[in-house]
Amino acid sequence: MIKFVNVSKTYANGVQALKDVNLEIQDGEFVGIIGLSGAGKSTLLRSINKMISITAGELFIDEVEISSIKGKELRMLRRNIGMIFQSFNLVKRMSVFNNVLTGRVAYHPTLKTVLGLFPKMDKLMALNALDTMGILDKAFTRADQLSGGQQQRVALARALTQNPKVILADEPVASLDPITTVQVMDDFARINKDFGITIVANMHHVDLAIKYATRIIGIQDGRVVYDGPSRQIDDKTLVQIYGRSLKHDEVLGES
Amino acid sequence: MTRAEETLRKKPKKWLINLVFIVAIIAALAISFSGSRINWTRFETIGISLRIMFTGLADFKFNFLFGTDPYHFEEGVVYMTLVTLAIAFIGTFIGAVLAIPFGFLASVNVVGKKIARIGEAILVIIRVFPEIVLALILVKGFGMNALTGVLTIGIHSIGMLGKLFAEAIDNMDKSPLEALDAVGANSWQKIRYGIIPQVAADISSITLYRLDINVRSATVLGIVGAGGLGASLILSAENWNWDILGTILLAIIVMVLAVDAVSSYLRGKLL
Repeated sequence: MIKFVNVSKTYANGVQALKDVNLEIQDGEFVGIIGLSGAGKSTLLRSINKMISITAGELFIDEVEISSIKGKELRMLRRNIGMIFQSFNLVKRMSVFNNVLTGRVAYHPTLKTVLGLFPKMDKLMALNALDTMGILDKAFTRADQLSGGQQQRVALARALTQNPKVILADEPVASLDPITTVQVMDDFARINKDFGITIVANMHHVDLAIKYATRIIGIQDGRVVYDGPSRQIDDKTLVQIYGRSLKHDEVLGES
Repeated sequence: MTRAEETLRKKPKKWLINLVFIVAIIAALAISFSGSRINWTRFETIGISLRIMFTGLADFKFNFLFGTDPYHFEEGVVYMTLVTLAIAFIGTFIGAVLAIPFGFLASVNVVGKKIARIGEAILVIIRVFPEIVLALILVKGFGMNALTGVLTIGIHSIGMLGKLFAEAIDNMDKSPLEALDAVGANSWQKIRYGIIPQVAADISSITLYRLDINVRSATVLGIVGAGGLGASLILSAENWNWDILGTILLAIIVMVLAVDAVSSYLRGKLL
Protein backbone atom coordinates (compact mmCIF):
# COMPACT_ATOMS: atom_id res chain seq x y z
CA MET A 1 0.00 0.00 0.00
CA ILE A 2 1.20 3.49 -0.89
CA LYS A 3 0.02 6.34 1.33
CA PHE A 4 0.63 10.08 0.94
CA VAL A 5 -0.10 12.16 4.05
CA ASN A 6 -0.04 15.94 3.54
CA VAL A 7 2.84 15.58 1.07
CA SER A 8 4.38 18.70 -0.45
CA LYS A 9 7.43 19.16 -2.66
CA THR A 10 9.17 22.47 -3.18
CA TYR A 11 12.16 22.46 -5.54
CA ALA A 12 15.31 24.43 -4.79
CA ASN A 13 14.27 27.06 -7.35
CA GLY A 14 11.10 27.73 -5.37
CA VAL A 15 8.67 25.87 -7.62
CA GLN A 16 6.06 24.07 -5.56
CA ALA A 17 5.36 20.88 -7.52
CA LEU A 18 3.15 19.12 -4.96
CA LYS A 19 0.81 20.88 -2.57
CA ASP A 20 -0.61 19.00 0.40
CA VAL A 21 -1.29 15.70 -1.39
CA ASN A 22 -3.26 12.99 0.42
CA LEU A 23 -3.64 9.65 -1.33
CA GLU A 24 -3.93 5.98 -0.64
CA ILE A 25 -3.17 3.41 -3.33
CA GLN A 26 -4.13 -0.19 -2.51
CA ASP A 27 -2.24 -3.28 -3.67
CA GLY A 28 -3.21 -4.44 -7.14
CA GLU A 29 -4.70 -1.17 -8.35
CA PHE A 30 -4.07 0.28 -11.82
CA VAL A 31 -3.82 4.02 -11.31
CA GLY A 32 -3.53 6.55 -14.11
CA ILE A 33 -2.25 10.02 -13.27
CA ILE A 34 -3.34 12.73 -15.68
CA GLY A 35 -2.78 16.47 -15.86
CA LEU A 36 -1.06 19.17 -17.88
CA SER A 37 2.71 19.20 -18.41
CA GLY A 38 4.29 20.71 -15.31
CA ALA A 39 1.26 19.95 -13.13
CA GLY A 40 3.35 17.65 -10.92
CA LYS A 41 2.55 14.19 -12.36
CA SER A 42 6.18 13.17 -12.63
CA THR A 43 7.05 14.54 -9.18
CA LEU A 44 4.16 12.59 -7.65
CA LEU A 45 5.23 9.36 -9.33
CA ARG A 46 8.95 9.74 -8.62
CA SER A 47 8.41 10.54 -4.95
CA ILE A 48 7.08 6.99 -4.48
CA ASN A 49 10.51 5.40 -5.05
CA LYS A 50 12.29 8.48 -3.78
CA MET A 51 13.90 9.37 -7.10
CA ILE A 52 12.62 12.74 -5.88
CA SER A 53 12.55 13.50 -2.15
CA ILE A 54 9.49 15.19 -0.71
CA THR A 55 10.00 18.32 1.39
CA ALA A 56 6.96 18.08 3.70
CA GLY A 57 4.49 15.46 4.89
CA GLU A 58 4.84 11.71 5.16
CA LEU A 59 4.96 8.97 2.56
CA PHE A 60 4.37 5.35 3.54
CA ILE A 61 5.15 2.25 1.51
CA ASP A 62 3.67 -0.77 3.31
CA GLU A 63 3.60 1.11 6.62
CA VAL A 64 7.26 2.19 6.29
CA GLU A 65 7.80 5.96 6.24
CA ILE A 66 10.30 6.58 3.45
CA SER A 67 11.04 10.31 3.52
CA SER A 68 14.00 9.84 5.88
CA ILE A 69 15.49 6.57 4.60
CA LYS A 70 18.71 6.53 2.60
CA GLY A 71 21.67 4.38 1.53
CA LYS A 72 21.17 0.63 1.71
CA GLU A 73 17.67 0.95 3.14
CA LEU A 74 16.63 3.08 0.18
CA ARG A 75 18.12 0.59 -2.28
CA MET A 76 16.20 -2.22 -0.57
CA LEU A 77 13.02 -0.17 -1.00
CA ARG A 78 13.73 0.51 -4.65
CA ARG A 79 14.41 -3.12 -5.57
CA ASN A 80 10.77 -3.87 -4.78
CA ILE A 81 9.52 -1.12 -7.07
CA GLY A 82 9.89 -1.41 -10.83
CA MET A 83 10.17 1.70 -12.96
CA ILE A 84 9.39 2.32 -16.61
CA PHE A 85 10.56 5.44 -18.46
CA GLN A 86 9.46 7.34 -21.53
CA SER A 87 12.77 6.69 -23.29
CA PHE A 88 13.15 3.07 -22.03
CA ASN A 89 16.54 3.79 -20.36
CA LEU A 90 18.25 0.62 -21.53
CA VAL A 91 21.98 0.26 -22.10
CA LYS A 92 21.81 0.17 -25.87
CA ARG A 93 25.19 -1.50 -26.39
CA MET A 94 24.36 -4.34 -23.99
CA SER A 95 22.39 -7.48 -24.75
CA VAL A 96 18.69 -7.65 -23.94
CA PHE A 97 19.42 -10.46 -21.47
CA ASN A 98 22.02 -8.45 -19.54
CA ASN A 99 19.71 -5.43 -19.49
CA VAL A 100 16.95 -7.52 -17.94
CA LEU A 101 19.38 -9.15 -15.49
CA THR A 102 20.26 -5.74 -14.03
CA GLY A 103 16.85 -5.93 -12.35
CA ARG A 104 18.50 -8.39 -9.95
CA VAL A 105 21.59 -6.40 -8.91
CA ALA A 106 20.13 -5.11 -5.65
CA TYR A 107 19.48 -8.68 -4.46
CA HIS A 108 23.14 -9.71 -4.31
CA PRO A 109 26.44 -8.54 -2.80
CA THR A 110 28.27 -5.88 -4.82
CA LEU A 111 31.32 -8.04 -5.59
CA LYS A 112 29.25 -10.89 -7.03
CA THR A 113 27.23 -8.61 -9.28
CA VAL A 114 30.28 -6.65 -10.43
CA LEU A 115 31.89 -9.93 -11.48
CA GLY A 116 28.67 -10.88 -13.26
CA LEU A 117 28.05 -13.90 -11.02
CA PHE A 118 24.27 -14.22 -10.96
CA PRO A 119 22.66 -17.44 -9.71
CA LYS A 120 21.08 -19.64 -12.36
CA MET A 121 17.68 -18.90 -10.85
CA ASP A 122 18.11 -15.20 -11.58
CA LYS A 123 19.07 -15.92 -15.17
CA LEU A 124 15.97 -18.06 -15.57
CA MET A 125 13.87 -15.31 -13.98
CA ALA A 126 15.20 -12.86 -16.56
CA LEU A 127 14.45 -15.23 -19.42
CA ASN A 128 10.99 -16.04 -18.06
CA ALA A 129 10.23 -12.32 -17.86
CA LEU A 130 11.28 -11.96 -21.51
CA ASP A 131 9.06 -14.91 -22.36
CA THR A 132 6.13 -13.25 -20.57
CA MET A 133 6.72 -10.16 -22.68
CA GLY A 134 6.87 -12.25 -25.85
CA ILE A 135 10.44 -11.38 -26.81
CA LEU A 136 12.38 -14.39 -25.55
CA ASP A 137 13.89 -14.88 -29.01
CA LYS A 138 15.58 -11.47 -28.72
CA ALA A 139 17.42 -12.36 -25.48
CA PHE A 140 20.92 -12.28 -26.93
CA THR A 141 20.60 -9.44 -29.41
CA ARG A 142 21.85 -5.96 -28.58
CA ALA A 143 19.16 -3.68 -27.17
CA ASP A 144 19.64 -1.07 -29.91
CA GLN A 145 18.63 -3.62 -32.57
CA LEU A 146 15.05 -3.63 -31.23
CA SER A 147 12.10 -1.40 -32.14
CA GLY A 148 10.74 1.12 -29.64
CA GLY A 149 7.88 -1.13 -28.56
CA GLN A 150 10.23 -4.09 -28.09
CA GLN A 151 12.64 -1.92 -26.07
CA GLN A 152 9.82 -0.88 -23.75
CA ARG A 153 8.99 -4.57 -23.32
CA VAL A 154 12.61 -5.22 -22.37
CA ALA A 155 12.25 -2.46 -19.77
CA LEU A 156 9.08 -4.14 -18.52
CA ALA A 157 10.90 -7.48 -18.33
CA ARG A 158 13.65 -5.76 -16.33
CA ALA A 159 11.01 -4.44 -13.92
CA LEU A 160 9.35 -7.87 -13.65
CA THR A 161 12.70 -9.49 -12.87
CA GLN A 162 12.90 -7.30 -9.78
CA ASN A 163 9.90 -9.27 -8.54
CA PRO A 164 8.22 -5.99 -7.63
CA LYS A 165 4.99 -5.23 -5.79
CA VAL A 166 4.61 -1.96 -7.66
CA ILE A 167 5.58 -0.73 -11.12
CA LEU A 168 5.81 3.01 -11.67
CA ALA A 169 5.54 4.14 -15.27
CA ASP A 170 6.53 7.67 -16.24
CA GLU A 171 4.92 8.39 -19.63
CA PRO A 172 5.50 4.79 -20.77
CA VAL A 173 4.01 5.19 -24.24
CA ALA A 174 4.80 8.83 -25.02
CA SER A 175 7.50 7.91 -27.55
CA LEU A 176 5.64 5.03 -29.20
CA ASP A 177 3.37 4.96 -32.25
CA PRO A 178 -0.39 4.44 -31.72
CA ILE A 179 -0.41 0.70 -32.52
CA THR A 180 2.62 -0.11 -30.35
CA THR A 181 1.08 2.07 -27.65
CA VAL A 182 -1.96 -0.18 -27.44
CA GLN A 183 0.21 -3.30 -27.33
CA VAL A 184 2.38 -1.97 -24.52
CA MET A 185 -0.67 -0.76 -22.54
CA ASP A 186 -2.17 -4.25 -22.97
CA ASP A 187 1.08 -5.61 -21.48
CA PHE A 188 0.64 -3.34 -18.47
CA ALA A 189 -2.95 -4.52 -18.03
CA ARG A 190 -1.84 -8.16 -18.27
CA ILE A 191 0.92 -7.70 -15.68
CA ASN A 192 -1.54 -5.95 -13.39
CA LYS A 193 -4.09 -8.74 -13.73
CA ASP A 194 -1.91 -11.85 -13.90
CA PHE A 195 0.68 -10.94 -11.26
CA GLY A 196 -1.38 -8.57 -9.12
CA ILE A 197 1.35 -5.93 -9.41
CA THR A 198 0.19 -2.40 -8.62
CA ILE A 199 0.62 -0.10 -11.60
CA VAL A 200 0.92 3.66 -11.23
CA ALA A 201 1.29 5.36 -14.61
CA ASN A 202 1.58 8.98 -15.76
CA MET A 203 -0.18 9.54 -19.04
CA HIS A 204 -0.69 12.32 -21.54
CA HIS A 205 -3.47 10.53 -23.36
CA VAL A 206 -6.70 10.88 -21.44
CA ASP A 207 -8.49 8.18 -23.43
CA LEU A 208 -5.74 5.64 -22.73
CA ALA A 209 -5.77 6.48 -19.04
CA ILE A 210 -9.54 6.03 -18.90
CA LYS A 211 -9.42 2.81 -20.92
CA TYR A 212 -6.68 1.03 -19.00
CA ALA A 213 -6.60 2.47 -15.48
CA THR A 214 -9.29 1.54 -12.99
CA ARG A 215 -8.65 4.70 -11.03
CA ILE A 216 -7.71 8.16 -12.21
CA ILE A 217 -5.86 10.79 -10.23
CA GLY A 218 -6.08 14.24 -11.79
CA ILE A 219 -3.43 16.78 -10.87
CA GLN A 220 -3.63 20.49 -11.43
CA ASP A 221 -0.89 22.85 -10.26
CA GLY A 222 0.42 20.39 -7.68
CA ARG A 223 -2.96 19.55 -6.15
CA VAL A 224 -5.07 16.44 -6.53
CA VAL A 225 -8.26 17.78 -8.11
CA TYR A 226 -9.83 14.46 -9.05
CA ASP A 227 -9.46 11.02 -7.52
CA GLY A 228 -11.96 8.37 -8.45
CA PRO A 229 -12.92 5.53 -10.76
CA SER A 230 -12.00 6.08 -14.39
CA ARG A 231 -15.53 5.36 -15.62
CA GLN A 232 -16.89 8.35 -13.70
CA ILE A 233 -14.67 10.82 -15.56
CA ASP A 234 -16.82 13.28 -17.50
CA ASP A 235 -16.35 16.61 -19.20
CA LYS A 236 -16.77 18.49 -15.94
CA THR A 237 -13.89 16.65 -14.23
CA LEU A 238 -11.68 17.19 -17.28
CA VAL A 239 -12.37 20.93 -17.00
CA GLN A 240 -11.17 20.71 -13.40
CA ILE A 241 -7.96 18.96 -14.38
CA TYR A 242 -7.09 20.72 -17.62
CA GLY A 243 -8.63 24.14 -17.00
CA ARG A 244 -10.98 23.89 -19.98
CA SER A 245 -13.05 21.27 -21.70
CA LEU A 246 -11.21 18.99 -24.09
CA LYS A 247 -12.25 18.62 -27.70
CA HIS A 248 -12.97 15.15 -28.97
CA ASP A 249 -9.64 14.75 -30.76
CA GLU A 250 -7.72 15.97 -27.72
CA VAL A 251 -9.25 13.28 -25.53
CA LEU A 252 -8.11 10.71 -28.06
CA GLY A 253 -4.63 12.12 -27.74
CA GLU A 254 -4.15 12.40 -31.47
CA SER A 255 -3.43 16.11 -31.61
CA MET B 1 12.93 49.15 -47.64
CA THR B 2 11.73 45.57 -47.17
CA ARG B 3 12.36 43.67 -43.95
CA ALA B 4 14.80 41.41 -45.79
CA GLU B 5 16.87 44.41 -46.99
CA GLU B 6 16.83 45.87 -43.53
CA THR B 7 18.10 42.61 -42.02
CA LEU B 8 20.81 42.40 -44.69
CA ARG B 9 21.98 45.87 -43.68
CA LYS B 10 22.28 44.65 -40.08
CA LYS B 11 24.40 41.62 -41.08
CA PRO B 12 27.41 41.57 -38.72
CA LYS B 13 30.55 42.90 -40.39
CA LYS B 14 33.51 40.63 -39.77
CA TRP B 15 36.05 41.82 -42.37
CA LEU B 16 37.91 44.07 -39.92
CA ILE B 17 38.50 41.23 -37.45
CA ASN B 18 39.58 38.91 -40.28
CA LEU B 19 42.04 41.56 -41.53
CA VAL B 20 43.56 41.95 -38.06
CA PHE B 21 44.09 38.17 -37.87
CA ILE B 22 45.73 38.00 -41.32
CA VAL B 23 48.09 40.91 -40.53
CA ALA B 24 48.96 39.32 -37.18
CA ILE B 25 49.84 35.96 -38.79
CA ILE B 26 52.02 37.64 -41.47
CA ALA B 27 53.79 39.69 -38.79
CA ALA B 28 54.43 36.56 -36.69
CA LEU B 29 55.88 34.75 -39.72
CA ALA B 30 58.20 37.68 -40.52
CA ILE B 31 59.45 37.92 -36.95
CA SER B 32 60.03 34.14 -36.80
CA PHE B 33 62.06 34.12 -40.02
CA SER B 34 64.24 37.04 -38.98
CA GLY B 35 64.83 35.51 -35.57
CA SER B 36 65.69 31.99 -36.65
CA ARG B 37 68.77 32.99 -38.71
CA ILE B 38 68.40 30.27 -41.30
CA ASN B 39 71.68 29.54 -43.09
CA TRP B 40 70.54 29.73 -46.73
CA THR B 41 74.03 28.86 -48.09
CA ARG B 42 73.47 25.24 -46.94
CA PHE B 43 71.07 24.81 -49.87
CA GLU B 44 74.04 24.95 -52.33
CA THR B 45 75.51 21.60 -51.18
CA ILE B 46 72.30 19.88 -50.23
CA GLY B 47 71.93 18.27 -53.67
CA ILE B 48 75.20 16.34 -53.27
CA SER B 49 74.41 15.33 -49.70
CA LEU B 50 70.94 14.13 -50.64
CA ARG B 51 72.28 11.99 -53.51
CA ILE B 52 74.81 10.28 -51.26
CA MET B 53 72.12 9.78 -48.65
CA PHE B 54 69.52 8.27 -50.96
CA THR B 55 71.88 5.89 -52.75
CA GLY B 56 73.01 4.77 -49.31
CA LEU B 57 69.49 4.46 -47.97
CA ALA B 58 68.49 2.23 -50.88
CA ASP B 59 71.37 -0.14 -50.13
CA PHE B 60 69.69 -2.33 -47.54
CA LYS B 61 71.87 -4.49 -45.36
CA PHE B 62 69.96 -7.76 -45.16
CA ASN B 63 72.35 -9.45 -42.75
CA PHE B 64 71.85 -6.44 -40.48
CA LEU B 65 68.10 -6.71 -40.95
CA PHE B 66 67.86 -10.25 -39.59
CA GLY B 67 70.93 -10.15 -37.41
CA THR B 68 72.87 -12.83 -39.34
CA ASP B 69 76.65 -12.97 -39.72
CA PRO B 70 78.53 -10.82 -38.67
CA TYR B 71 75.72 -9.57 -36.44
CA HIS B 72 73.92 -11.33 -33.57
CA PHE B 73 70.15 -11.64 -33.69
CA GLU B 74 69.87 -9.17 -30.77
CA GLU B 75 71.72 -6.58 -32.90
CA GLY B 76 69.48 -7.05 -35.92
CA VAL B 77 66.79 -4.64 -37.00
CA VAL B 78 64.01 -7.22 -36.73
CA TYR B 79 64.82 -7.84 -33.09
CA MET B 80 65.06 -4.12 -32.33
CA THR B 81 61.76 -3.50 -34.12
CA LEU B 82 60.10 -6.14 -31.96
CA VAL B 83 61.55 -4.49 -28.86
CA THR B 84 60.19 -1.14 -30.02
CA LEU B 85 56.76 -2.67 -30.59
CA ALA B 86 56.87 -4.33 -27.19
CA ILE B 87 57.76 -1.03 -25.49
CA ALA B 88 54.86 0.71 -27.24
CA PHE B 89 52.45 -2.12 -26.44
CA ILE B 90 53.29 -2.49 -22.74
CA GLY B 91 53.53 1.29 -22.30
CA THR B 92 50.10 1.80 -23.91
CA PHE B 93 48.61 -0.98 -21.79
CA ILE B 94 49.97 0.51 -18.55
CA GLY B 95 48.87 3.99 -19.62
CA ALA B 96 45.35 2.82 -20.49
CA VAL B 97 44.90 0.91 -17.23
CA LEU B 98 46.08 3.90 -15.20
CA ALA B 99 44.03 6.30 -17.31
CA ILE B 100 40.73 4.57 -16.49
CA PRO B 101 40.56 5.76 -12.85
CA PHE B 102 41.78 9.20 -13.97
CA GLY B 103 39.05 9.22 -16.62
CA PHE B 104 36.42 8.53 -13.99
CA LEU B 105 37.99 11.15 -11.72
CA ALA B 106 37.78 13.76 -14.47
CA SER B 107 34.22 12.91 -15.51
CA VAL B 108 31.48 15.32 -14.45
CA ASN B 109 28.99 12.47 -14.81
CA VAL B 110 30.69 10.32 -12.18
CA VAL B 111 32.23 12.63 -9.60
CA GLY B 112 30.51 15.98 -10.19
CA LYS B 113 31.84 19.31 -11.42
CA LYS B 114 34.13 20.22 -8.52
CA ILE B 115 36.14 16.99 -8.27
CA ALA B 116 36.16 16.63 -12.07
CA ARG B 117 38.01 19.94 -12.25
CA ILE B 118 40.72 18.56 -9.95
CA GLY B 119 40.94 15.37 -12.02
CA GLU B 120 41.24 17.40 -15.19
CA ALA B 121 43.97 19.56 -13.63
CA ILE B 122 46.02 16.44 -12.81
CA LEU B 123 45.67 15.26 -16.41
CA VAL B 124 46.75 18.67 -17.71
CA ILE B 125 49.86 18.55 -15.51
CA ILE B 126 50.72 15.12 -16.97
CA ARG B 127 50.13 16.40 -20.50
CA VAL B 128 52.30 19.53 -20.23
CA PHE B 129 55.47 17.42 -19.81
CA PRO B 130 56.77 16.78 -23.32
CA GLU B 131 57.41 13.07 -23.73
CA ILE B 132 61.08 13.53 -24.57
CA VAL B 133 61.62 15.59 -21.40
CA LEU B 134 59.96 12.88 -19.34
CA ALA B 135 62.23 10.29 -21.01
CA LEU B 136 65.37 12.36 -20.30
CA ILE B 137 64.42 12.51 -16.62
CA LEU B 138 63.51 8.81 -16.35
CA VAL B 139 66.73 7.75 -18.12
CA LYS B 140 68.64 9.21 -15.18
CA GLY B 141 66.67 7.05 -12.77
CA PHE B 142 66.12 3.80 -14.66
CA GLY B 143 69.06 3.80 -17.06
CA MET B 144 69.28 3.42 -20.84
CA ASN B 145 66.92 0.51 -21.35
CA ALA B 146 63.47 -0.60 -22.45
CA LEU B 147 61.96 -0.10 -18.98
CA THR B 148 62.56 3.64 -19.30
CA GLY B 149 60.71 3.65 -22.62
CA VAL B 150 57.79 1.69 -21.17
CA LEU B 151 57.48 4.04 -18.20
CA THR B 152 57.78 7.17 -20.34
CA ILE B 153 55.08 6.02 -22.72
CA GLY B 154 52.89 4.72 -19.91
CA ILE B 155 52.97 7.90 -17.86
CA HIS B 156 52.72 10.25 -20.83
CA SER B 157 49.75 8.36 -22.32
CA ILE B 158 47.69 8.85 -19.16
CA GLY B 159 47.33 12.57 -19.93
CA MET B 160 45.60 12.20 -23.27
CA LEU B 161 43.86 8.88 -22.60
CA GLY B 162 42.40 10.06 -19.28
CA LYS B 163 41.05 13.19 -20.95
CA LEU B 164 39.48 11.24 -23.83
CA PHE B 165 38.09 8.55 -21.49
CA ALA B 166 36.46 11.27 -19.39
CA GLU B 167 34.93 12.76 -22.54
CA ALA B 168 33.58 9.35 -23.56
CA ILE B 169 32.01 8.91 -20.12
CA ASP B 170 30.50 12.39 -20.21
CA ASN B 171 29.09 11.95 -23.70
CA MET B 172 27.33 8.67 -23.00
CA ASP B 173 23.60 8.23 -22.48
CA LYS B 174 22.82 8.94 -18.84
CA SER B 175 19.33 7.45 -18.82
CA PRO B 176 20.42 3.87 -17.93
CA LEU B 177 21.96 5.26 -14.73
CA GLU B 178 18.54 6.58 -13.77
CA ALA B 179 17.07 3.13 -14.39
CA LEU B 180 19.81 1.51 -12.28
CA ASP B 181 19.10 3.95 -9.47
CA ALA B 182 15.48 2.89 -9.69
CA VAL B 183 16.28 -0.85 -9.36
CA GLY B 184 18.33 -0.12 -6.23
CA ALA B 185 21.84 -0.44 -7.67
CA ASN B 186 24.77 1.06 -5.74
CA SER B 187 27.61 3.10 -7.28
CA TRP B 188 29.79 0.10 -8.20
CA GLN B 189 26.87 -1.66 -9.82
CA LYS B 190 26.03 1.52 -11.74
CA ILE B 191 29.61 1.70 -13.04
CA ARG B 192 29.61 -1.99 -13.97
CA TYR B 193 26.20 -2.14 -15.68
CA GLY B 194 25.52 1.48 -16.64
CA ILE B 195 28.86 3.02 -17.60
CA ILE B 196 31.31 0.28 -18.63
CA PRO B 197 29.08 -1.40 -21.26
CA GLN B 198 28.52 2.00 -22.85
CA VAL B 199 32.14 3.19 -22.93
CA ALA B 200 34.11 -0.06 -23.34
CA ALA B 201 34.15 0.18 -27.14
CA ASP B 202 35.14 3.86 -27.05
CA ILE B 203 37.90 3.20 -24.52
CA SER B 204 39.31 0.34 -26.62
CA SER B 205 39.17 2.42 -29.77
CA ILE B 206 40.90 5.39 -28.14
CA THR B 207 43.57 3.08 -26.71
CA LEU B 208 44.24 1.50 -30.12
CA TYR B 209 44.60 4.96 -31.61
CA ARG B 210 47.07 5.81 -28.85
CA LEU B 211 49.01 2.61 -29.61
CA ASP B 212 49.45 3.98 -33.12
CA ILE B 213 50.98 7.17 -31.73
CA ASN B 214 53.07 5.30 -29.17
CA VAL B 215 54.74 3.06 -31.78
CA ARG B 216 56.12 6.23 -33.36
CA SER B 217 57.07 7.62 -29.93
CA ALA B 218 58.86 4.42 -28.96
CA THR B 219 61.07 4.83 -32.02
CA VAL B 220 61.95 8.43 -31.26
CA LEU B 221 62.46 7.82 -27.53
CA GLY B 222 65.29 5.42 -28.33
CA ILE B 223 67.28 8.49 -29.37
CA VAL B 224 67.57 9.58 -25.75
CA GLY B 225 68.33 6.02 -24.67
CA ALA B 226 64.90 4.71 -23.77
CA GLY B 227 65.33 1.43 -25.65
CA GLY B 228 64.20 0.30 -29.10
CA LEU B 229 65.28 1.29 -32.60
CA GLY B 230 66.01 4.95 -31.86
CA ALA B 231 69.51 4.40 -30.46
CA SER B 232 70.76 2.70 -33.64
CA LEU B 233 68.93 5.28 -35.71
CA ILE B 234 70.77 8.24 -34.19
CA LEU B 235 74.08 6.38 -34.11
CA SER B 236 74.01 5.49 -37.79
CA ALA B 237 72.92 9.00 -38.76
CA GLU B 238 75.77 10.57 -36.84
CA ASN B 239 78.30 8.17 -38.41
CA TRP B 240 76.89 8.68 -41.94
CA ASN B 241 76.08 4.95 -42.19
CA TRP B 242 73.33 5.52 -44.74
CA ASP B 243 72.95 1.84 -45.61
CA ILE B 244 72.25 0.92 -42.00
CA LEU B 245 70.02 3.95 -41.51
CA GLY B 246 68.11 2.96 -44.67
CA THR B 247 67.57 -0.53 -43.33
CA ILE B 248 66.23 0.85 -40.04
CA LEU B 249 63.97 3.30 -41.88
CA LEU B 250 62.56 0.44 -43.94
CA ALA B 251 61.75 -1.44 -40.73
CA ILE B 252 60.12 1.65 -39.19
CA ILE B 253 57.96 2.22 -42.25
CA VAL B 254 56.80 -1.41 -42.37
CA MET B 255 56.13 -1.44 -38.63
CA VAL B 256 54.16 1.83 -38.59
CA LEU B 257 52.09 0.83 -41.62
CA ALA B 258 51.35 -2.58 -40.12
CA VAL B 259 50.30 -1.21 -36.74
CA ASP B 260 48.22 1.47 -38.46
CA ALA B 261 46.43 -1.14 -40.57
CA VAL B 262 45.78 -3.49 -37.64
CA SER B 263 44.53 -0.73 -35.35
CA SER B 264 42.28 0.76 -38.06
CA TYR B 265 40.81 -2.66 -38.74
CA LEU B 266 40.17 -3.38 -35.06
CA ARG B 267 38.70 0.06 -34.44
CA GLY B 268 36.38 -0.40 -37.40
CA LYS B 269 35.20 -3.67 -35.85
CA LEU B 270 34.62 -2.06 -32.46
CA LEU B 271 32.30 0.80 -33.36
